[in-house]
Amino acid sequence: MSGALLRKELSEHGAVLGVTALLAALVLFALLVQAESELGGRFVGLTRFSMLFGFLIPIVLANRLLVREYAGRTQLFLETLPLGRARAFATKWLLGCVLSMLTAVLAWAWTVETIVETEALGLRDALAPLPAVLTFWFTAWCFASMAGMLGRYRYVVWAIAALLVVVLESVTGMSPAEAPVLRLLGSDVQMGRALPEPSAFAVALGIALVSLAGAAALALIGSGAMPSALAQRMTARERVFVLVGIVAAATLSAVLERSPELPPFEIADGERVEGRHVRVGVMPTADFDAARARSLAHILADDADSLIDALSLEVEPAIFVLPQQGLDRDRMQRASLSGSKGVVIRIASDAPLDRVRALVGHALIVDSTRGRALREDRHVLLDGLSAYWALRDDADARRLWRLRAAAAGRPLREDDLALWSQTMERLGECTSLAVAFGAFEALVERLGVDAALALMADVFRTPPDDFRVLFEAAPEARLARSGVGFAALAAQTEAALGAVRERHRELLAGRPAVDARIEQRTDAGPGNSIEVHVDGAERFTVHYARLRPWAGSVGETPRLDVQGSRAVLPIAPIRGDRVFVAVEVDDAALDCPIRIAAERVTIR
Amino acid sequence: MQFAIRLDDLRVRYGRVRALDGLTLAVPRGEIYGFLGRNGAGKTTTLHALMGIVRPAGGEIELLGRRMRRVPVAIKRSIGYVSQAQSFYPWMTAARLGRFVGSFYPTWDDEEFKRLLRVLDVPRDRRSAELSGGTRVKLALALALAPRPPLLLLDEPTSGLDPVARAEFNDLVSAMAAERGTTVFFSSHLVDEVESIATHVGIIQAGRICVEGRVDDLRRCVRRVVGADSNELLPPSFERVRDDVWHAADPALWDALEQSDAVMVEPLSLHEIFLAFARTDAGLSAAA
Repeated sequence: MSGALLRKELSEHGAVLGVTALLAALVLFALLVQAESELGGRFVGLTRFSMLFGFLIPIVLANRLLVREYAGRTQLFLETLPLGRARAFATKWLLGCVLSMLTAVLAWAWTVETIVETEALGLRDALAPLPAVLTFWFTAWCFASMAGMLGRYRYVVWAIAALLVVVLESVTGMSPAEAPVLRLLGSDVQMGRALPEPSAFAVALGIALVSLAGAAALALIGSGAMPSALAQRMTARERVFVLVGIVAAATLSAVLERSPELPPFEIADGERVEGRHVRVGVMPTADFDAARARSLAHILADDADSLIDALSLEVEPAIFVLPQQGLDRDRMQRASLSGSKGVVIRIASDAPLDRVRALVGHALIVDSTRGRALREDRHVLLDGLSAYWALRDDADARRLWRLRAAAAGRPLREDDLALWSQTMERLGECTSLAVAFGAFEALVERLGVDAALALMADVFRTPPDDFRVLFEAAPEARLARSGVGFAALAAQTEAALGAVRERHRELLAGRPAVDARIEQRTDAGPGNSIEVHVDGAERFTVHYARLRPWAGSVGETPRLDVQGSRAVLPIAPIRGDRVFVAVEVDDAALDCPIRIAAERVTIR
Repeated sequence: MQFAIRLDDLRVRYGRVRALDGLTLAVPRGEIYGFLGRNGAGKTTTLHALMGIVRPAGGEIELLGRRMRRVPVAIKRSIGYVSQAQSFYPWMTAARLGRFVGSFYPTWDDEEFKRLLRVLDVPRDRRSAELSGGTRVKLALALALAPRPPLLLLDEPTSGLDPVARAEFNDLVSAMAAERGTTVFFSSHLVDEVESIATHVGIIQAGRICVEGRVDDLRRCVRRVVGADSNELLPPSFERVRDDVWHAADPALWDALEQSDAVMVEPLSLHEIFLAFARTDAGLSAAA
């Protein structure tokens, strides 16, 4: 210690430290008053004060005693005096330590003084929190002094420490109050019940000693040149680097954030079936009796259990089917659940069973892959697999679906599978699902059932819930490793569909020829309109949607049922608008709506 | 001869840079030693090594009769130091600085400090941040001289001063050295200034001493040779410094050469000698 240096420090920083002490006293007073009336727990005010000023005061002290000396280059002047570098550092460090600890002791004393005004407090109880509080302040000062020796990077070090606490919470779910050092001021200390466990002290003191060693090393090694260099202002490049680092760290932290664990959807009503992995409920209605509901529940439970086993899916959901009157036969809606997890589907009472089963399988895989199964590079495999699974024991349905796929107009190409959203837009839901089924059947034929399912288990494996998901292999690469790329798969599917076309040439040729035309009109009165003309069908439906400027996929489309040959869409687009229009007619031979035109219209 | 400073093969490195690369010099007690060198030659590093601010990687330091590897605090109490840039606490007045600095020196003479402030015309009660550059240098000199140190180290202290202030500063240093027998080690790249007050001079180049000795001896030992191809005419005891400038360790060799008609020998100013050595890439490790 150097008395002269000590006096210099006190006279140089006395005013700032005095103001800080006054501010700290005001905050402590407010916390103690609040603790008395609201917070409960004898030492809550003290611990909250320590949480705030236990960091703030060491930071102020480190800034004044250490950073300022190096940043102002007065350290060089100090070093020309007959005062060793180690002695100067020790004097400053000990002064900061004593002032920190003194603040902690005074805050504790004031807290005790406040407590004894209202309740009896023995000396032992009064002293109970002191070791934890003093260790906390000591550790905070050691860390602040180490950070201070890093000069312009000191706040970066504090930010990293704060980020570690956040990441710890995100990754392990550990509350910040349970983080190292912060644990010292946990609820036991707040309530004055007990001290934290010894490991909390050991960890905090370990951090303190490492920080002290780091600070001393920075001050003494290499002629002390490093802190002088670090104390200078950041360059513009460094500022940008730090900013980018903070943004990257925040992003990483967000990516690492755990998804909340939701409870399974509660099935209280309807016909219920407990499967090995899933619980299924189907609600009977006036036109969907209990026996049918029970049968559907059994089928869905069997589908789901076997699919989960085959693909090792990490889901054990509740599945609930709600038949509703008035819904279109081909329209199936999955409810969006916010507070629970599960698959809740609304269907028409006369909804085709194969489509319902396929939809449930589809939903299971989507949930198990956290939605990644819907990505463009694997969506066709998802649709194909879920259809294949739903039809695995129904030969008639498989024949019908092959026929639907064979009726899908132009020959299948690689791009039709790789750019699946465009294919779905062009073919409509019924035909595109049939094509996906056809492609998956071709895959099974090529690899065999077991290998194809093993491949799907790999493609639809539950991904990690953090940034590691960025490094997963693309499905096409996995397909290629199995010797089946999208090109080969498209060719093999087209060959199989060609054979179906050949086999059912008469049936397909006998279907009514339907033609659709989509026109945009601009009239002086009503303005812009879109008209659809259909020849060869008495009824048709139009699906349409106004596309947002940056929208890639069409999304949900309202539906217009038309009796006749002409329809005007009930929208008034303005110049520059993009509108998706698709026309479908029911095809009796294929037993599903067939899309005969689909177009993205830009209003001129 | 007694020496206040002796450096033997001193080496200081900053990372890969060899700031001092085997520096060897000797400063006799009671003399004013001008330490000449270009910017970056190693002058300030030498003074920092003498003050214990940087740790040498090798070599030996002898200060005031004590040999050491690193300069201890006890020795620093016998050294007055004026640095190139004055990094005083800006909020301290001259008087406050005196009290602060004085508390580290057992030999501090407060009356002498006050006298020096008066002589140097430094206001006692003005904060150092409010002082001009010249006044700050004078304050630094007063702080360095008040403990009455036997050794005064000056690191280009006058580089920011006007000619009058520089002359006043140098006069005071010369007077103090003469009055108290203080040894002054005075680094500069201003040759005229060194020539005006120094009794000894050393020229440093790339971390090594090229040449050192009494100023008069140096002038006698380093001269210009004009005429025929001196390379063939001069004996091996003469070493070429640069172009037509030659160095002979014994001045008597020059006297003999002046008698011959083959060449014409011209004396050089210290300025010319400095230029000849400082421009030479390979330094001459000779002592005059």
